[in-house]
Amino acid sequence: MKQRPGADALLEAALTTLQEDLLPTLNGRQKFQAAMIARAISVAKQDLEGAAESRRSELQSFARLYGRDVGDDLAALRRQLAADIRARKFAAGKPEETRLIDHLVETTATELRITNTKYLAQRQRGRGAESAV
Amino acid sequence: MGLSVMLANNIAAIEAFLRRATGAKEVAVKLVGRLGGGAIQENWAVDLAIDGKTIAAILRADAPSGIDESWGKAQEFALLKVVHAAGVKAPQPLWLEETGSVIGQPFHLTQRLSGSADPRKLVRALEEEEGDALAQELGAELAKLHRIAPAAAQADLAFLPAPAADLVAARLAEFRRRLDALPEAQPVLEWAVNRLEDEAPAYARGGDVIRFCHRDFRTGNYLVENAGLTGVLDFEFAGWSDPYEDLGWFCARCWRFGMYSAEAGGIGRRDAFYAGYEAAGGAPVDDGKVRFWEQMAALRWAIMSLEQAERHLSGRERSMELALTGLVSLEMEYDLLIDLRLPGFKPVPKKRNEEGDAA
Repeated sequence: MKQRPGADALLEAALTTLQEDLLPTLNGRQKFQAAMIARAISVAKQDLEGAAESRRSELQSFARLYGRDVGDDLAALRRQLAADIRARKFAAGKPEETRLIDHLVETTATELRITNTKYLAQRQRGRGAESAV
Repeated sequence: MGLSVMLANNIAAIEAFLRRATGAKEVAVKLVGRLGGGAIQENWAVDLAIDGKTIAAILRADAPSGIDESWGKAQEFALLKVVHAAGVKAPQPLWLEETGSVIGQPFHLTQRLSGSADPRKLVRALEEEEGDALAQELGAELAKLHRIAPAAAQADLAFLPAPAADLVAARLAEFRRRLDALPEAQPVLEWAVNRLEDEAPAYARGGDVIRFCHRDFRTGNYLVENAGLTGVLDFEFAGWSDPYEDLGWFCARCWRFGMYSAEAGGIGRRDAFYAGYEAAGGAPVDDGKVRFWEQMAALRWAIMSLEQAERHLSGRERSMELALTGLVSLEMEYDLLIDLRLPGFKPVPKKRNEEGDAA
């Protein structure tokens, strides 16, 4: 909608009110529920803010993976990829497997940045061989 | 109508049921409150007075929409009987109502054990030594459970399906079926199934055994009081399996509740857990095989969490908690992408002076 405040500002206002005014007054199950609502709003807000960019980067990643123009139907592309993986089209130890893993790590990290950026940071800092991002 | 309303309206019916089940003249049921951890089950603390004798009990009924993997109330009751008889610290099963005619769905009553199951509080409250001692105690308890073998199994367990000859292959085939049933494609999880399929032969040992397994043995599913174990809970996924499925599930990263360096359930050292298991008569623990099953665990929990979200999204059971659970799968996906590429699924050991980050 063109009317101000837009979706992002409304979510921001809702989240602030919930976290600063409401949550401190609650206990027990209600506090738990309010914390879940805050988390849901926060993830939705992050998703909304980064939606265009993450869509663009996932499409670019698909284009690199398949080495061709891939169109713009992400759901169909993910279905195709899942089917290709199950059909073992990315041979182990071959460059196509490296490209596949790069794609999977990158797209998963992008989503995890939206849902739980702390978790992502913690794992990237950790001891694993997280070379692809 | 929520179960809370149903229960409050049906106290008289539950009392009548208990009079029939016990033959007692005087039965009074008092609702104490709802207990947490009810994504699959609804658990209620109730105080029973049966001919003057007071019993602290738990009433357990299925949540409005169950998940396919879990047993119904009658089977769970039978499982508890066997487990309790085997000397495992588990709630004693008391009465079963399996027709659904009393409160609208089947339920059972079990003994109410003391202690807390809250995993987040537990992993942060324990001192290091307490945590290792608890890990050891849990290892011992699991070994007790794994003594129950199919050959010696009571007729009570006849409903448990026979295990597949190739258990890992059967689990992976099941994962693929469950991925097919989800509305969105899951490329990372498809890749993880392939990786585990490729790795499996290296972890199939000649002496593999099949035992009674809990299949949800993890922090959050046992009770602790004063840093000691008071009871193992939630047997609704139990069945015949490779004991390593339980060992791996317990140690899996996704069940450490943020305390990642405490590799046994977020509470203690892996060695302490293994030592407790072996000292109580469990077979010597093969660390590599446990780690393989930890990856199986991450994959299984990723799929389960997506299924939880679908319970909400399908409208079968509206729940904020179930909806948020769906988001957790991304954490396991990222973990799988890292851990399935590590040799032996082990973190690369840090070299001295090479890495400043002590995380």
